[in-house]
Amino acid sequence: MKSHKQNQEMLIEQNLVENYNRYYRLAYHYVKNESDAMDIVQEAAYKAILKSDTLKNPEYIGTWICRIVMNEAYNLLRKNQKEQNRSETDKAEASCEDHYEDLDLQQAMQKLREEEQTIIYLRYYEDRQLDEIAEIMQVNLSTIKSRLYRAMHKLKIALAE
Amino acid sequence: MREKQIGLSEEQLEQKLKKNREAFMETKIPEEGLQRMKDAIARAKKEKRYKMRRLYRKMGLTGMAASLVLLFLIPNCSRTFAQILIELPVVGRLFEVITVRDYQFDDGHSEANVKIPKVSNGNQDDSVDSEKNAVAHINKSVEEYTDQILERFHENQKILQDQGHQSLDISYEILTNTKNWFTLALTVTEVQGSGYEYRQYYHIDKSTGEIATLKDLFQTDCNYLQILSDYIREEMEQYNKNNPDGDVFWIGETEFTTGFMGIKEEQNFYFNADGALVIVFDEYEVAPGYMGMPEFIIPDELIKEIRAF
Repeated sequence: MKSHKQNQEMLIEQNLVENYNRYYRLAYHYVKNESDAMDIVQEAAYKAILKSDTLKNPEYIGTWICRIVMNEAYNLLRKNQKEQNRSETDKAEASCEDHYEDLDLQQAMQKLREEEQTIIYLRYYEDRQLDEIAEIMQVNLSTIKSRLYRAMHKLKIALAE
Repeated sequence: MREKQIGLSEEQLEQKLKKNREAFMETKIPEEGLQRMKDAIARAKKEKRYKMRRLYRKMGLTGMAASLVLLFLIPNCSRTFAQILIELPVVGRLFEVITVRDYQFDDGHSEANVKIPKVSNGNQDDSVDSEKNAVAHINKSVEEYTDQILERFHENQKILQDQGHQSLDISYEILTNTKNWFTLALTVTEVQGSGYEYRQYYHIDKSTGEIATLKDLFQTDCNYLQILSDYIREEMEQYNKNNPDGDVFWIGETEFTTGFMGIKEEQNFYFNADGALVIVFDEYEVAPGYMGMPEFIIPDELIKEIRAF
C-alpha cells in the first residue's frame, strides 16, 4: 500500500533509530562534546528524511546516512573554528570533556588531515571494510588505501617521538 | 615490500587503536539524544508534506485538484447546479463578509496571522427570520471555532517559550455568493514542526434561508450517498492504477489505516466556478498527508436525476 518513496523514507527512519548510537559516536568523535554531537545527529536525521527521495540505491542507506552525519560534523567544526578564532580563550576547555582514551594517540590523530582521521575512525572504530569507506567518502578504493597507508604512517611516526 | 622501520610497528599501532576504540566505546550516550532525533525526524516528515502542499498551492491547486480537474471535465449538460447557482441574474442582495478580527502575533517563536470573518445579510427588513438565524448561527460557530484554535495557540506559546516554533494562519474565502446560495470557507493552517491544514465550509441556501448540508442538495429518499461514493471509489481506484508509485488513495480497510469507506452525510463540499459539486476530504482521511485535502468534482450527469434543484 505504500509508495516507493514512502517506503524509502520509512527505511531511512528505521536505520536512524536502530543505529542512533553509532551515528552519535561518529559525531562525538569529531566534536568531543555531548551537546554538539546530539545537534549533529539531530540535524543529519532531519536532512536525511527531508531528502529521502534523493537516495538512489536503498542498499546504501547506511553509508548514505553516515556521509550526512559526517558532513554535518564538518559544518559544525568549521563554524566552531570561526568562533574560536574570535575567542581564543575558550579553546582549552572545549577540546576534551571526559576521556579514557590514550591522549598521545588522540593528539596525533588530531594532527592528521580531516579525511585521514575519518578513514582511521571508520576502519578501526567502526570496523568498516575499505570498500564501504570508499562508498561513504565517495572516492575510489585505491585512494582510500593510499590515504589509510599515509595516515597510519603519520601516526607511527608521531607516536614514536 | 619491506620498508625501514620508523616509529611504531603496524601491530603496535593497531594495538593502540584497538585499545582506544574500547575506551571510546565507553563514551556515554545521552538518553535524550534518541528522542531528540525522533522529534527531528517527525519535523522533517511533516515539513516535507507541508512543502508539497505549498507547491500545489503555488500552482493554483489544492492537493488532488491538480490532476482531477484535468481528468474530469464536466460535459456540457442541459441543467447544472451552475445554472441555478451562478447564471441567474443577481437581483437580490448579496451577503457581505467583513473581517471582524485581524490578529497578528509574533514573538519570534510563535507567529499568528488570523483573519476572522463575520457574515452579514445586510440587515434588511424583508429578510426572513430563518435567514437571520442562519447567518447568526454561522457567525457563532466561526467565533467558537476560531476562539478554540487561538486558545490552543497561546497555550502552545507558553510551553514553547524559547524552544521550537509554531505558526497559525486563519483565512477565509467566499466561494459562492449569489441570489440563491452562499458559501464561506474558513481555512486553518497550523504549523508546529509539521503542517496541518483543515477547512470548514458554511453554506446557506438563500431560497429557504437555511443552513445547508450535503443532503439538502438531493431529493429526499434518494440514494445519493451510494451514488457519490461509488463514483468516488472508482475515481480513486483509477488514480491508484495509473500512479507509477503505487497506491495513493486508501480505499476501505488497509494495512495501516481505515481509508475511504464511502462519503458521509456531513461530508465537506462546495460549488466550483463552473457550478459543479466538489466533494472534499480532510487531510489524512483518504490519502497520505502530502495529498493535501483531496477533492473530487462530481459530473452533473451522475446526479441530475436526484438533485433537489
